[in-house]
Amino acid sequence: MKPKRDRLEIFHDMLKAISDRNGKIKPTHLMYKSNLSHTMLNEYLQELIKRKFIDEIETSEGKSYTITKAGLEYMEKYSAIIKFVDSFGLEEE
Amino acid sequence: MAVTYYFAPSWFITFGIVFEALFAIILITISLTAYRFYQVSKQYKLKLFSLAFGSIALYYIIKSLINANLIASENISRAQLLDLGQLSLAAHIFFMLAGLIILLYISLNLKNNRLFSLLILIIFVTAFVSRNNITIFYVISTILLAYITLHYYEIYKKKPQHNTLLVCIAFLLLLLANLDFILTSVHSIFYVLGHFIEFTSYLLFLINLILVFKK
Repeated sequence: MKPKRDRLEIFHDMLKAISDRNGKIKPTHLMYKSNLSHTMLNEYLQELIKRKFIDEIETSEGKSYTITKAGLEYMEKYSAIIKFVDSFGLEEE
Repeated sequence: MAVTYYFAPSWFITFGIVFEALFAIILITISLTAYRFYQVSKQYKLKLFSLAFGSIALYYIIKSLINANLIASENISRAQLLDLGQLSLAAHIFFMLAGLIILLYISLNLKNNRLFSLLILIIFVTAFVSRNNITIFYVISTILLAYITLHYYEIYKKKPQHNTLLVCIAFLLLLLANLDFILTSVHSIFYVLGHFIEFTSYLLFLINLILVFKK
């Protein structure tokens, strides 16, 4: 069984899903791509918005999410951050 | 003999300053990396970790600067020397304990702020009110490091990887160095030995940091 993903990994998976769709994605696609329940998706979306990693856009076709410069920087540094956090036991629940 | 400066054998004082400056550089590098990663990820524990390592770095900076000043001052009186030693001792206690308490706060995942403030008060009051500050300081920091090391051992058991092992051994060596420093009032050679153990510990922290950036 695959081990449970931690928050930083979920953030990365969600941002990667947005990035892979040219930086813009609809919530239903994001839910499917990041393998999260509806409730969990909303919770993580709020957290990503709070951290300024994504922006929410309201259009006539509904909501969509775009990745920000901060989100792209997080993706770029993710590998080093995760190694640092893992070795020093700095995961957050 | 309540001043740390006198625990060091005279031939080692300059080496001690070099060691402490080196520890400070390593600690600052780790602290700044943690802060940079906090800015990118907004992971709160990274900010606390940066503060903890920064605080311990400050302790080494102040200690080495004061010791360097003591060596440079040829015409200094014994009273002035003791005053400077006490200042070094106060900085020693404050910044090291502050750093360790923050690390313990991260390790124990404390959510209760009242309990945390009580822990801080007990440790600082005990350390500052006590007559024989330096020994009690080393005893308290040894206890704190024992809990921190245990936490890192549990992390290693949970994630048995080379980087978690390196950090666990590094904290274990810091714990051993502190145990060794308790004995510095018995013989000054323990002061030298403690610095070498600390050096190995910080070297492991540095290796871990290098591995973090290795692709």
